[in-house]
Amino acid sequence: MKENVKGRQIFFALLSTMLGGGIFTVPYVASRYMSTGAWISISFAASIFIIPMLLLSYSSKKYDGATLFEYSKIVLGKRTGEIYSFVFALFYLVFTALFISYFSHIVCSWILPDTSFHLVCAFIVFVCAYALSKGFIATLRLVSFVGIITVLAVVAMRFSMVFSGDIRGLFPLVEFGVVKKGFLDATVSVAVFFFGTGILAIIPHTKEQKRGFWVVSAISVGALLLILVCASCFCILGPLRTSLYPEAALLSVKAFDISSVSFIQRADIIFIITWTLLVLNGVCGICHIPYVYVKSIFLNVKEKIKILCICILIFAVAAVPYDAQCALWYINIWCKTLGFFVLFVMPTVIFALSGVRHEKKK
Amino acid sequence: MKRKNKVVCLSLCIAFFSCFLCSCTGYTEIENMDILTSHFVYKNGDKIQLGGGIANVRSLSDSMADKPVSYISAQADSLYEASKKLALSADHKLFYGGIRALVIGNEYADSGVGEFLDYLNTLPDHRANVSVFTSSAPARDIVEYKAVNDFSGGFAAESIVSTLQSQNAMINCSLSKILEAKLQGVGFALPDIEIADGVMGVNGYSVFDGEKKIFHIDALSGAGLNYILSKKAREGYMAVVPDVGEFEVYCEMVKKDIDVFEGADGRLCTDISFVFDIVMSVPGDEYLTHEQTQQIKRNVSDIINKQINDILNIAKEQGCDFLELYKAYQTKKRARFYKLDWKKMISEMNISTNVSIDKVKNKALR
Amino acid sequence: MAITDVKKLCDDIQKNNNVKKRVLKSENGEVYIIYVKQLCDINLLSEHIIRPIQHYWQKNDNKINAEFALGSIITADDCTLTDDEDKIREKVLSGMVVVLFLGDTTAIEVNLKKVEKKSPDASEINYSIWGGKDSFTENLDSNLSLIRYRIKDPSLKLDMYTVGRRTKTMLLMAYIGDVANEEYVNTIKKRIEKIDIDGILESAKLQWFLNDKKLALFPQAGLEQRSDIACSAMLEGKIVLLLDGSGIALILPKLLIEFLWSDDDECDNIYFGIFSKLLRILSVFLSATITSFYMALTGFHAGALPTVYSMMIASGRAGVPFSVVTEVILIEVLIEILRESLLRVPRSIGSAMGIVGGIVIGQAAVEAGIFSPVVLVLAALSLMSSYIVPDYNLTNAVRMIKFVLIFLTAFFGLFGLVCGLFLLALMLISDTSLKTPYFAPYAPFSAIDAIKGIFTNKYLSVKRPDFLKTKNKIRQKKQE
Repeated sequence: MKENVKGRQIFFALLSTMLGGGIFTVPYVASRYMSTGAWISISFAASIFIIPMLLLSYSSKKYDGATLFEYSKIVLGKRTGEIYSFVFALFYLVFTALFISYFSHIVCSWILPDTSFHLVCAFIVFVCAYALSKGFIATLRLVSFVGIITVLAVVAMRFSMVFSGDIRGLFPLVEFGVVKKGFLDATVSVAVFFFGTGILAIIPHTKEQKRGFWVVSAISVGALLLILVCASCFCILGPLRTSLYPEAALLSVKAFDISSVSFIQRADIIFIITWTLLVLNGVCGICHIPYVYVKSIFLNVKEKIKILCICILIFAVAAVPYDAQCALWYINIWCKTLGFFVLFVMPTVIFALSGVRHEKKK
Repeated sequence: MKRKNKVVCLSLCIAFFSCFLCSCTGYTEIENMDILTSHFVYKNGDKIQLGGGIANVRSLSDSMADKPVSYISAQADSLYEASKKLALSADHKLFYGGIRALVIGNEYADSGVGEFLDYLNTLPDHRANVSVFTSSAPARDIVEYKAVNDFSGGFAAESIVSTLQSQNAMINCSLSKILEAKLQGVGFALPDIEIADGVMGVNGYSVFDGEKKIFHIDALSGAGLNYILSKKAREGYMAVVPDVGEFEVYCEMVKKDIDVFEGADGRLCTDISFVFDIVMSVPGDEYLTHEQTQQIKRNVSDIINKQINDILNIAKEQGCDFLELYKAYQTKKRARFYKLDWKKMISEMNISTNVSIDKVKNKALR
Repeated sequence: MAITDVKKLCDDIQKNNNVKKRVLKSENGEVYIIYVKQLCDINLLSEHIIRPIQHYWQKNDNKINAEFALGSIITADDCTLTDDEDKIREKVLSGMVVVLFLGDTTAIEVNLKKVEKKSPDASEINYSIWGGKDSFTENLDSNLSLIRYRIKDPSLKLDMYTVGRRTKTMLLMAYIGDVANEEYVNTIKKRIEKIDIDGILESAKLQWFLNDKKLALFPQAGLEQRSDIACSAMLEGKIVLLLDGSGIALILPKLLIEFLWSDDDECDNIYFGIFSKLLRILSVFLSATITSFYMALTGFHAGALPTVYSMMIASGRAGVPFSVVTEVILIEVLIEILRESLLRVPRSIGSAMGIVGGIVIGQAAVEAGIFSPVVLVLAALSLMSSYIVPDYNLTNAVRMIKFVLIFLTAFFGLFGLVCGLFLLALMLISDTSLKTPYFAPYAPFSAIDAIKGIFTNKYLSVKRPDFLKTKNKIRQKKQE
């Protein structure tokens, strides 16, 4: 896959995956442990993710724009590389499925209470299947286009909420006792929502991209936007209610009255639109990771069969009957166990070994 | 197309459409729901009375329609049973998203509103910004109240309070604020409405400590509450200048600074300072001398100071933080707040207030 | 096949009843003139061929052959020599006059075509306030003259092709050689060469062969009647295709955003141009989604509406026997029926039908309680918004999409509508027109072209858009 991917597209691809999952849950998760100091855990979680992303970028650059599945075989050897690629793809297949499951649960609880969960799940999987059939480049372009609109809408709405709410809810910015106690738990829980940035592994590197700059910008902006979302929840709902209700982000927009400036009285309509677009962006991007792996392994199989298999597997995992909190818990556990290995340990190993191999070649 | 592919395609199509057809009608149209414009909870003896006003939507297009709102009510021993009875007595599904006013009867308020607040939280589509009131007036009178430009009692109550709020003359209390106060374990103040001589109006505030109403503040004494809780309060006074006369002045709050902290002795210290501008209708600066203007300033600042001190003392006596002083404290020590016995701290707090008048503006009063 | 026996060839061609044979005999030889009477100008035939030959024989005794006659006797301007029997048959049937000489293996093809044609008239499908009103006609030569009249550039390339095994229709591909992207030209050439069908009689039908995707929902080529707009497209680096017998030009490539631009935007002041473009973008979006939003807010998310609006909608819908979904679908189908019927109805009763359909049926339906007033207003707004698009083809695509979005909203509310729009955006972004991304310059995003597209026009910008990848990027010299 050597098509030209622009830096801006990488920026929005990473941003959408972070915001799609994080915008609903990060306020609750971060404030539960850190109260008004949630911004610290978000900033730290973002900064620790910059390192593996830069490592992935560097490795792709070194191996002439190859994807992770291609250069891991070169660096780690054929067998080890294949195992790692398989684990990487499996991780993101299950991650996508859990993400879809979680999102579907929230839709069924808050937006469409009378609609079957499995149907919503199947519909989202169908959207993913369509995105897979159109190709990764088209998906990246779409993510970039939709991303601009949704990020602007999120920023505008959240800023309005901050300024129209009670700004005392943001203070104190740091409480040392609370930070000390809850920093680790908060950071690890928030970090789960940055795992979508692993999409960088399948984006080929080109010279014009200035990838490092875009990666750092995307993660930083993503963190800032999540902090802004938290701040808006604190101003409207207050830190206590934000930390008690898992659906605090939605409650805060429901409590935000815009009837004086609009023909609708609650901002949750805008939230539904922007959040759905962000989630679809994120999910359609991440689901390409297992697909790219399958494409590289099964060369003679028809594209439609591959897409169908991937989607059936995603649906099978997503449709397992557990509730939203359970889905979130599974995402948490899955990311903490396998995700850490896949996104931190192995890229570091690959980076280190590729340097050694490069020296040997010289 | 091969037979095998045809079979696969056909099965997929059947599965697809049957999925869509069997479970996707998860909506109820607005005209098939009873739109509640107001919702009340009262206590009649030992019974809990729950009800509201259902908008008669046909009256919008049909001027010959009977009444714009239909009164609906159910009584039971508990709130839960009353809500069930209410749902059963309505001919359509009740729509709570259109509620403009929540009215709590004063008798019910005296016994505690916690259960009612929990019940409101479970209502689908409820608005967090809905205005909440207390009242002693009969529920039916409030629900069926018809103002000139308002559809029903719920709209009228909301309009009265939002108009006064827009004029910075009083504070509004939404459901969201009450829920926040309940969670924090502090008090709150709700506007109290009455219908006197056929006219609906606000006659003060009902102050709650936690879940129960503890006392009533009349409208005149509520000025201090307005100063502390609202962002830009405005009140009118008659300022007396000896040998000159009385002047009607309006005070507009320009700056407010509330600082709540723990003193060295462990007691809570509340420092509140205000800066006001006053507006008079006296034409020109030459009408009053500098001395006389200063006299008016002193006069007004004394009145405001007294009002603020009065309300703070009430809070102190009752040990009830209905003035949101906890928010000022939490901006510095949020985690510590939850370890304190806040009621006790409030009942022992040191109060220090400072009111200053900055500008005196002379202009024709609107 | 070379000419062997002139008499046999003439008899063979004459088997077709419409073909006439005129034999000029003298002591020095025989000349056979073959033509189709209905397609030739008989006066010109007499004046430029028959009389000169007879005149020559009166004065000279030499035997004449094709080459000599072409250079010295025949006075018609458009003549060529040919020695291919199959080509001669084709040319005669297409309206050319062929002059054969007994004993000569070469013949002369003379163009004395006289085809019934109408004069350029105002365009019926591409209406605008400003700009030229002369549109293409069914005659290729007239259309060629309209192009040549406007573009006098020597780089203007006019490539002729023949399509259709039986119709042998002439197809003109016009482009400016030093501006148009070579890849576009080669792609179209290859696709034209691959066309193997009995006949194509309309330019619009060429789309089945020239589009990147045959089953695309959105149009990938522009259909234009106005010659000035076709010439303007060529100046931008696009390729214009004209089929003989069709009064419509096919313009390739054409991107989605270009369907929303009108030539009038460049004639009005810049601010009004910007306003018009933004209005069109909003209108297209409204046309596709307004009824879906109404359904979502009325059925699924009634809590989002202020109480007064909820009551107003409930009041309007009170007594309507249908669910909101059925009501919306019915009204949209009714409007589509009305729209289609007004297209086909004779002009003389068209306006009366419009009044009957719009006012009587709409008003009567509301009074009978079949529809609510709000849904009627929204459906009318959707209809009017769809007509704001200058290109009719895009309107049709939006009409189809509207129904898909209505169905998705019926099942999943606002969530379904958003997913539908997402899928639509994905489809548009992955589509191409002559391998150019259909959603350019918005995806892939090019800030300069995206801003220029809406906030400026061709006459204020120096360079052509990047997405067309033209050979010559400079449109005009920078003004100092």
